[in-house]
Amino acid sequence: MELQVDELTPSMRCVSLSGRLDANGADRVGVPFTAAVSAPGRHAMLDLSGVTFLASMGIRLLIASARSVDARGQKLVMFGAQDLVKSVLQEAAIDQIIPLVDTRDDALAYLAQG
Amino acid sequence: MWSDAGCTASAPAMPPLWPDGSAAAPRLDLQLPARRESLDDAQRALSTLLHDQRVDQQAVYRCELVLEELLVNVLMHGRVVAGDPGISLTVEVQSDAVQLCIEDGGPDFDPLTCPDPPRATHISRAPVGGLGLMLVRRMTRELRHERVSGRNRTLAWVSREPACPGR
Repeated sequence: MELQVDELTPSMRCVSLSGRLDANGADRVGVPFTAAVSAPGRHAMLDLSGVTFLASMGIRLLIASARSVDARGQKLVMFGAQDLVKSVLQEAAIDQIIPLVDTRDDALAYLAQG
Repeated sequence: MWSDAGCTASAPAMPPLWPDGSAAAPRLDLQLPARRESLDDAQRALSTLLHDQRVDQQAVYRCELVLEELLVNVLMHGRVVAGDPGISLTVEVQSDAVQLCIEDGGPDFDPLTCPDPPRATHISRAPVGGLGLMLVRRMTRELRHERVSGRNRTLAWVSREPACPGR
């Protein structure tokens, strides 16, 4: 599991994950991922297009990070999930509590809303 | 049960045969130490078997997810005691389903008795526990638990139908 952070603007960053977001993957990126997503003063878009597998420990990491973002009054949106990853997010109803959109442009549009 | 270990088939692509000449289901049998490194080892072995048997990609994903969640549950809630043989994993590729069997020496635990976590309406109230077993129940056609000779045995059947969510 790999992590990449791109600063889009002073108040917005894109965090990209690639690989398997399972128990071992979540262990490897957990701390830097949460820090990257919930950095003060920044909204975040999470690029899931490189995630090939998602399991409950990965979902747990997403939830914990999203909670940190919410607690700071900032926004987080996920995009680009592959079909099988998307179906797991939907089965667990995570898409109901963390916004999930299709494309990078959709994510930018979501964060641009007031 | 006669496993691949005793197979004397000359061509690797031939399925092993039962003594009566009928084809046995392709399978793998692994003994794994009860530690996190075993997750990757088990997934690699499962993936190789399922791809060799041309199982559909969606069914492969469901099998990998079920394996991950059941093993993580064992590792999180089990215990390692001296002399414990660790975790036994058996996977059998049947005509319409993949059967996974996991045995461990942890405390008696029946995954069927755990209720689904409540569905949260806001991130601040999202559950962090219970999602794994919920996903197992969603992804399997059938799930059984037994306690045999002081060990937990969980059997799961994942449908090979691509679009069916295991049921």
